Amino acid sequence: MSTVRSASLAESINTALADLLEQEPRLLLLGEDIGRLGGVFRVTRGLQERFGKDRVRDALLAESTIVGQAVGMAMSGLVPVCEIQFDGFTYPAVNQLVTQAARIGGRWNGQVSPSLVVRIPTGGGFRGVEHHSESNEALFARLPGISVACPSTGEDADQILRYAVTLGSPVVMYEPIRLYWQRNTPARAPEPARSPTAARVVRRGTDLTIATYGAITHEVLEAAHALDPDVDVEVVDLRWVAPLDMDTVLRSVARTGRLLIVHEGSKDVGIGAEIAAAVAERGFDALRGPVRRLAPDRRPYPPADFEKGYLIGVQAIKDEVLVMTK
Amino acid sequence: MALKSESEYATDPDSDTRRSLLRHMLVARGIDEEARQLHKQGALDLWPSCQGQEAAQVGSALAVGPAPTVFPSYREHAVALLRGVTPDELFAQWAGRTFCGWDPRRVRFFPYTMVLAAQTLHAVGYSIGQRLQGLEDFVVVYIGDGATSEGDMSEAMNLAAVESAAVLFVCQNNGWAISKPAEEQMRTSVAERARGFGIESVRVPGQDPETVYSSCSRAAAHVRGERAPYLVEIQVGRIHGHSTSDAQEVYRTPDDIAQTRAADPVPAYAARLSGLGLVDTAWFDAVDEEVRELRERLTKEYV
Amino acid sequence: MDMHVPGFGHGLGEALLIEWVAGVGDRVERGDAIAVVETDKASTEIVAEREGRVTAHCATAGEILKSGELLYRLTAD
Repeated sequence: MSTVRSASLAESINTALADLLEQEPRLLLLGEDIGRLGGVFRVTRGLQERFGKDRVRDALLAESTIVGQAVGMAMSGLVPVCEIQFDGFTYPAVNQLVTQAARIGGRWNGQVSPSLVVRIPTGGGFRGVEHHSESNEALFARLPGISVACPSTGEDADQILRYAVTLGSPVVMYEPIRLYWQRNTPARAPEPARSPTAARVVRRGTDLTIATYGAITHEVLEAAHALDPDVDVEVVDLRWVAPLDMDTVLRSVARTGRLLIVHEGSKDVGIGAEIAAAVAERGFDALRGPVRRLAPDRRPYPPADFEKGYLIGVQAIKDEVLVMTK
Repeated sequence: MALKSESEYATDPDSDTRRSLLRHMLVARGIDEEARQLHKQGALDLWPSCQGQEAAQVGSALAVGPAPTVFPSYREHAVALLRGVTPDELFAQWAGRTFCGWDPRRVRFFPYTMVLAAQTLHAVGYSIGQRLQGLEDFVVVYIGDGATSEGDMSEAMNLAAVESAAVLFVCQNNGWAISKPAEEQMRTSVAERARGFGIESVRVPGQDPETVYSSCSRAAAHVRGERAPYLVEIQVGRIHGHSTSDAQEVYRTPDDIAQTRAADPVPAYAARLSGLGLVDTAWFDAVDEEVRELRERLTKEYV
Repeated sequence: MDMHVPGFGHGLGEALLIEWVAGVGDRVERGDAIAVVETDKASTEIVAEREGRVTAHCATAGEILKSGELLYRLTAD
């Protein structure tokens, strides 16, 4: 299987944040341990030394405080980019995100358009302790007023971040922890995305479409490469789960006639359900067989010894594709 | 209506300020009465009355002057009107027309926030943001006693303290979180709690607008001088229910409600200024006329 | 016996070998430093998992070490 060595996700995000701090004087970073330490994942390493304590702010250990004050800062004209330390610690900030950040624009009758980004390290596969390996993107995808990005590469994270800080409404960006420092990644088609919010066809194929996003895109690509030439799989990296770029998915399904959706967040009422429903509504005639989903069951993320049984692996993806194309 | 510039506000109100205090209280009372009437006519969906809290609201708003941005909770109608929100703008959200009927930037009175205490963190963040940009960072945030139980209130007090943010917290303690009495909500005063976070504070009675005015003037001077937060807890009475859909007769004794009505700050202050000869019948007639016109306009707009 | 590069946690699969601390022939106790490495997050030590004598280094300074790879050999003497 072909792999390429590239800058890690953490390095790409660090570079993008540094550029943005350089270019936009109203932008600041806010998060736990992001300054002196450079973040628990060192994503913001060196930025406080370079841009100062006012702009790279070590926040109190209180997630509602982080997002709540960011809402106030956005009202004052600043562009806060917040970091939540781990996905499972997002919940104390949910009220401020959902009832406040997402609704400020409407409440102000459009007079305030807060560009506010919340970066959240997400996902498992690295033997994290409880609450450190969650995938709660579907929670925010349901909420009008919040855009949700799930990049799977540094290049995509860079493009998404640069777009998010100009959007004028809150963006939650999920960054896969297990990709932060991974440099060898499966090869992908070099086609650029049509727009910063568009999905990306990362592998062209003719037999079946896999729509996916986030860290598991790498397992999907690995499975697709391994199945070649028996099955020619097309892979769509959604990059955003809210709003969903259904046009790209539907065009792909029109070509392949089959759709499998793979994600790391649990299956029930998940992103896959929305995609499957949209394809049933708008692309049914193109389908040669039932749409299927491959995602963990609805249960809490298990202790590290059991995470392999929870996560969707390359073999499971290959098996599913073979069942669908036999 | 013209607000005085900051420097013209002394700690003790002069005669003009006293008349201004009374006029704003009377206007707020009249508008509040009209809202209750319009609700009974089905023209407003809900109204959280501010009756009994006018002295606290007008006294604090006049004391801090026009410069600071105000982050209200959802009952600060007297502050809104004093800041230049028109009565029809104030009613629009309670009639289901919008989530905010006024221009928040123009009057520096930000939209009402229904999720309790959420605005306290916005206020502190806004103040920090303004300071970082070299802009006016004095912010006033209003909160009720019930909302002080929310985690965001504690987080905001701590954040304001550690950041030394120029935030004046004004807590109107009306003794009730809907039906939960204050003595069942907390073991210390809100003012005492603020001091635990390292925020200087004071607790004052809220019947006399001059007491409130003086306390808030000193508090504002502290915020400006020390560039640090301050909390004023004002003890007020809630004459009506939490909102027009509340039924406080269910959980308050008739005596308690009667006592609150007897301590109504509006007629008390009117009588006091009358007795001092600062206002006369002609003055009252003029204010009555102004209120009547405002109420007629509201009726036309909303019925 | 074969001693392998340990896991570094939090998705860190590799580290740069900065220097060997325990030379070939050195006796080590459990917990003694074997080598200094630099992960993407921090500089850290690889320590002896048991007592013994180092008989071989299987990597050289400046090399990228991957978790699970052979790192050095140890005899229990």
